[in-house]
Amino acid sequence: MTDQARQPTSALREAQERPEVFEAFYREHAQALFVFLARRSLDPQTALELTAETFATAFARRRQFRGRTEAEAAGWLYQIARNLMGKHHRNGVIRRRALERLGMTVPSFSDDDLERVEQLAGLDRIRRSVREEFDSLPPKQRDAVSLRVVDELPYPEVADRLGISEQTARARVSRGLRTLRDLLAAPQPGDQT
Amino acid sequence: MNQPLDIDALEDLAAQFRQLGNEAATNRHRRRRTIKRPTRPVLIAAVTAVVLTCTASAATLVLREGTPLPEAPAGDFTADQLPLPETSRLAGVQTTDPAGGAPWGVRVFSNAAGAHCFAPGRVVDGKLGVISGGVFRELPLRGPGTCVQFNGREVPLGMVARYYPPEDRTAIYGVASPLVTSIGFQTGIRSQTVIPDSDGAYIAVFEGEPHVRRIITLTDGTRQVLDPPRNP
Repeated sequence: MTDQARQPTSALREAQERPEVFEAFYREHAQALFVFLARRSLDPQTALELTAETFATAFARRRQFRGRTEAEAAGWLYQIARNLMGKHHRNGVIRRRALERLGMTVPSFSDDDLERVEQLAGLDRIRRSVREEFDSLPPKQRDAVSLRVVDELPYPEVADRLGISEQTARARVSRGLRTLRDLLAAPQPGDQT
Repeated sequence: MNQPLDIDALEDLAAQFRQLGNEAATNRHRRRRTIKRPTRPVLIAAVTAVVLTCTASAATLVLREGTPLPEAPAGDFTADQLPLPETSRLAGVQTTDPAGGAPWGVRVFSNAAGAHCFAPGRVVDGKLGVISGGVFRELPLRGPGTCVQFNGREVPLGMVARYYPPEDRTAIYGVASPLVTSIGFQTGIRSQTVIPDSDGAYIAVFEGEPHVRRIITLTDGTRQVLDPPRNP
């Protein structure tokens, strides 16, 4: 018997035949996935919506899962989450296709919930890290990111204010954001996957 | 299996997945039973076809399209309430009615002062209108609305809550600035979160006149809670 064969079968695999078992798969991974997404979006509500859409997508596509073990199921789940998060970063919108198809609603946080989220995800610490990383960006990149992202100015105006071409403004913002994105994308202490 | 989660909102989602799983399991058992008796699918398909045909006919009969509503006479509204030409359009956001039927939507436009304006209605065939007595009547594209000038975090959105007595519905709708990432609505029995569409428009519709707590989440993660006084 191989090591893999000895590992218990994931609830996701069982849910292909017995959909009522999906809740167990959700309970196994929901909190860790939520923390993973909260640390990368820095916004609990965004993380909750992405978590909900990720599991709704997993439920709708559970028959497409070809693995068997818990590790394979977790990898499959987090790949869905990363895809959704990538689309969110690119477009600023969260796709809710699976949630809408399944008729699900995204709950809101209570005040107690938000306190627990801050503690679980350590968002204060990560926000401080982002702030420090932002402060340590080369001044030209920092100014460009600040005008574009914080002040939400269009690129032509960013370029005007900095006395540079629009193309240069775009390049500086892009480089600055890439640095900050790498910080958020890096594994965080306590991440489970 | 039922190990509680630390966050209530995640527990709420768990309950929804439990229900989905149970429903899917029930449907699966039904399908299995059906396969054992080959004559039943034919009967079920025939009955379903008849029911669908009747339902479609009934729906057509129930909702008729009337003449579009005329534009309000000039002078009834100030320029600030009316759209600049070519700016009025139906936003992409829609929400279902609690009892089904035509969804609710929002028309958005700009006024002469450059403010962001909005007006709600029911959506049928891509048109915004009102439904009364089983008749849908399109609202004029140049009709009035409510307008808001965003002002950073001070005024990140415009919001109106309006009760519609004939339908016994409360619609909460408006437009939000790009600073707003989501708007949560909490009643005593349910919560929902709405993401403003590309126009910033959003709408949520409730049965009756419930007390609705609204939670506005901004791009920096901060939240503004609007908790209107309860009806006496």
